[in-house]
Amino acid sequence: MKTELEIKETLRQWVLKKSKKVTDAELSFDTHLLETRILSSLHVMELILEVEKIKGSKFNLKAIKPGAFNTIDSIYASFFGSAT
Amino acid sequence: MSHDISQVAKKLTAQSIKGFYNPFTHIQFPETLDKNNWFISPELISIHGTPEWEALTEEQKKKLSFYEEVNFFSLNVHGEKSLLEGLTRRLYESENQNVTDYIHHFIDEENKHMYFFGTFCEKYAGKIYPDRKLVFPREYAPGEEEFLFFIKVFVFEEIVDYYNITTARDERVMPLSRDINANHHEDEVRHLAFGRVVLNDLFKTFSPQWSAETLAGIRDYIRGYYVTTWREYYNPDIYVDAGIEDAYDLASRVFESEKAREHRARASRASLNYLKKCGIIEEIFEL
Repeated sequence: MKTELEIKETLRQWVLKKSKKVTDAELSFDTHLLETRILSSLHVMELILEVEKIKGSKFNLKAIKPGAFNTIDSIYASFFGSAT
Repeated sequence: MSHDISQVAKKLTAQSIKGFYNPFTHIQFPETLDKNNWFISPELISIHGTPEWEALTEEQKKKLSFYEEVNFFSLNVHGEKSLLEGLTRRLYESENQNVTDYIHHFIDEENKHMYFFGTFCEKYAGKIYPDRKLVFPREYAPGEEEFLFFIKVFVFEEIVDYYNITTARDERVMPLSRDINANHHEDEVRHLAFGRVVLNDLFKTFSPQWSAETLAGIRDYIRGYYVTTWREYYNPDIYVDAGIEDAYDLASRVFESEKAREHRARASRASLNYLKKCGIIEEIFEL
């Protein structure tokens, strides 16, 4: 199992690869991804697949809370944090 | 490229009335299905031509074809649910009675299709694969939301129709699957005709008011929506159910492969050409 830092960095690299709207230097774990249009609704399906791949299992899509995809920190907290 | 939407809608309504059918008796669903059959044309299977495909036995390939068809039908269920929501919101919003009349038929036919797709998935696979798409609220320029709704309908239905036609004509495929695909295509011909006219009409009406930034954003969205729509055809759930290992890596790897890009270009060519002819996109893009 990857560490928290490794998972967040994997997600950060994924965002950099998929979005042309942010540079390596600009993107941190607490950067707002949707408000700033770094990611759009269209990226979310692939992002969910990426989260499932890292996690090694699927999750209940209907239970996703608003704000889950706001930042890399919130993605980690929503899908990999101790509460999940 | 100019069509009178009212006259098109009137003509399509007459055709829908002529072809009206009862969905609950139109297609017979047997109690069980022999899975040792082709359920979709082998060439449409997402991993067709890859080393993973070549490593499968004939029986495993046919089993995979069953889950590919379950995925295809699941995508149709999700797509048509969104379409029905959008069409229902547009009932009695148009000042044109012929358009409203046709939307009633559009809704009726999409509901029938969902019954076919959903019944197949639930009865023979015991499930519908989940939808991984989410939509976040945002601000739109005048006419942009309406235009993007019909763009989504257009992209979704044009790709689906390519699969419907190919599978419906393929004598290797088992009869029930061919029947569902053939029936869908017969109704979709009218929906596609309507969608194309509406799209062109909306673009001509609203695009002169859009800023260069809005138009560029819309063109980006169209490309992104094609990519996202296509990505769903490479669903790791299919490979898990078919017993193929490394499902997530396989899905990503196949999606990025040259062979898959060529397939997507071929299946999307007609719709992209139409968008270019209307001036909606400037160039045919790679998928």
